[in-house]
Amino acid sequence: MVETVLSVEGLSVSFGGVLAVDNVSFSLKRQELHCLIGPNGAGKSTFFKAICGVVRPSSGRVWINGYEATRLPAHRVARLGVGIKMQVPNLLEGLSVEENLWIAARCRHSAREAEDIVESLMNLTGIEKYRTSLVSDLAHGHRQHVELASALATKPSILLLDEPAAGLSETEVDELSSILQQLKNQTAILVVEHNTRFVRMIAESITVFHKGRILAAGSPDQVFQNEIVKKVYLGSN
Amino acid sequence: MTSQQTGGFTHVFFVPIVCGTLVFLFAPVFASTYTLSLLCVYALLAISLGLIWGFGGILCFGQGAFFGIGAYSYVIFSINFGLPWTSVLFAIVFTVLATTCFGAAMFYGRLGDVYLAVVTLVFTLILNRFLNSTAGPEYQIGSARLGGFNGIPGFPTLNFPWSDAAFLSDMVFYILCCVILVISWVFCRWILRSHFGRVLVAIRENEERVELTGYDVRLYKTAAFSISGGLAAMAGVLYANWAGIVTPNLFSLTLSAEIIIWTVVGGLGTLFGPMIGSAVLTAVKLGLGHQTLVDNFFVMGILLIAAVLVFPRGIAGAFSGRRVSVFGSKKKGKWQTRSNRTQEKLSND
Repeated sequence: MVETVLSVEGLSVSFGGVLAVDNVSFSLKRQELHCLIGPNGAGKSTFFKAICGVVRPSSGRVWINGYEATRLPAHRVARLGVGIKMQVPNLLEGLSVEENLWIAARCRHSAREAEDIVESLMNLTGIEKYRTSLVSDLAHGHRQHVELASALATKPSILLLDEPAAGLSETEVDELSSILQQLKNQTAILVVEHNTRFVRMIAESITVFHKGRILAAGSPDQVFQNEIVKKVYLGSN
Repeated sequence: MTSQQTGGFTHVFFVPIVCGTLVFLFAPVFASTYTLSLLCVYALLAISLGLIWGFGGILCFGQGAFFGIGAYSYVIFSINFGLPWTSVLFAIVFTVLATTCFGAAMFYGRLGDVYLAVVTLVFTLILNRFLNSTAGPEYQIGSARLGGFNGIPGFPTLNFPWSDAAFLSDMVFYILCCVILVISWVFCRWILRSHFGRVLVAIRENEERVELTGYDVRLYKTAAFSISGGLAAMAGVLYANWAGIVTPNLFSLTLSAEIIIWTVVGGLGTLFGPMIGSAVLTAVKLGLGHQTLVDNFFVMGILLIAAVLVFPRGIAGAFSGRRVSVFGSKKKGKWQTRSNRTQEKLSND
């Protein structure tokens, strides 16, 4: 069954005179793993934040799981079934790993369910041995995993990840790729990413942003063979 | 219910209660109950700030204002209706409503931390200036004249319920203050152990993360602010009964700053710390009041600087040794309501 879980129509975001996102339409299907790529300043993260409710769009509409989410505050977007991981690890620094996950899991589940979710997510992301460590004491890679687990703790139907592979070693990127492959049967995933190796590993479909607009969209093969994409983003080689 | 089921409830909960009771019982040997009642009132006021600042990350300069609103609303109601105990309830409800409106305006208006501190400071100063200008006969609520800088004296104070003429003695009032302080402490601990309290701590750590998870941060902060206002109002009511007069000085910048100093010196992120800070610093202040050699505020300032340098985590923090957490941890396959580290911390509390 093909079902659209995220639909964006004519979304624009401007900051003063700068049009960061220009009339973008986009959709994400259930169990789809979709990547947004593009050069710096292309508007990917702004588009991402507009979907999350962190940035208010100037025009356009957003539907999440059939509900209109345009201009909803971030917490209400999250409650529509969206798990969010921001570009810079955004965690409860003074709390332990399990406390971070518990807070997230408890938002939409009972205390007992939250405990089970925390355990399963620590196992999935390989951070169980750091359960009592303060998040602020963890290495960058583990912090990325903790935030991914936090985003998953609400059991979202849509997972939005902004540069989850940023700052990770190749081994850690491989691990992350493996985790996302496991997750894609449970949730739709939208990944904003710069790391083309990582994108090639995980993407089922790709959208390329350039100057606030969609430059190209399609399967990884179609996108990476696209001459215009090669020219503006990937390089001619 | 076993200790295991209650997550060490017996040890963690009753030891401070027993120790606190012993302190309250023997304190009158060393100081007058009149002075000790004031220390209890200020301890309650300090807890009200410690709750929202230490656990919610909300630095509020308006505790003096809520303290004053509680005291004034009690006095105005009791003068008009002559029902001291009902007036207590009215004062708390009125102040909670006022703080809810004020808090909602700030938090739903997405006021940043620094601006919130400034706005609450200005709010306090406005009330102070306003009440100082209410000396004229036109400033009268029912039978209660606000009285400007002279304040409102001569109002019905708390009595034994069976007789209007049976006023509380100093000792009984002291016991009442102790009981209310203990109940407030237990109430705050209960809040912090609840889901609400844990979210509050999470908000202190990273507001944006909590919001992205799906919590309405504004609602949680407004609720915490209201609870804090209610506690400050209770302290204000007790203060009015202790002093027998309310004046605009309750809204002074000095008092609001002192509450912050008590909390910092006692220890942020604990409930016991602000109580210790308020007791120690108020005792020092009262002691200094007997001499004219040095200015009180000069000594208090020096003490604050010294305390921050020697005990950067406050007096209570210095003796805990480990990080402050109100969360539990998972041991032996079950989530405990209190982890070992929290038990140690709470034992100090």
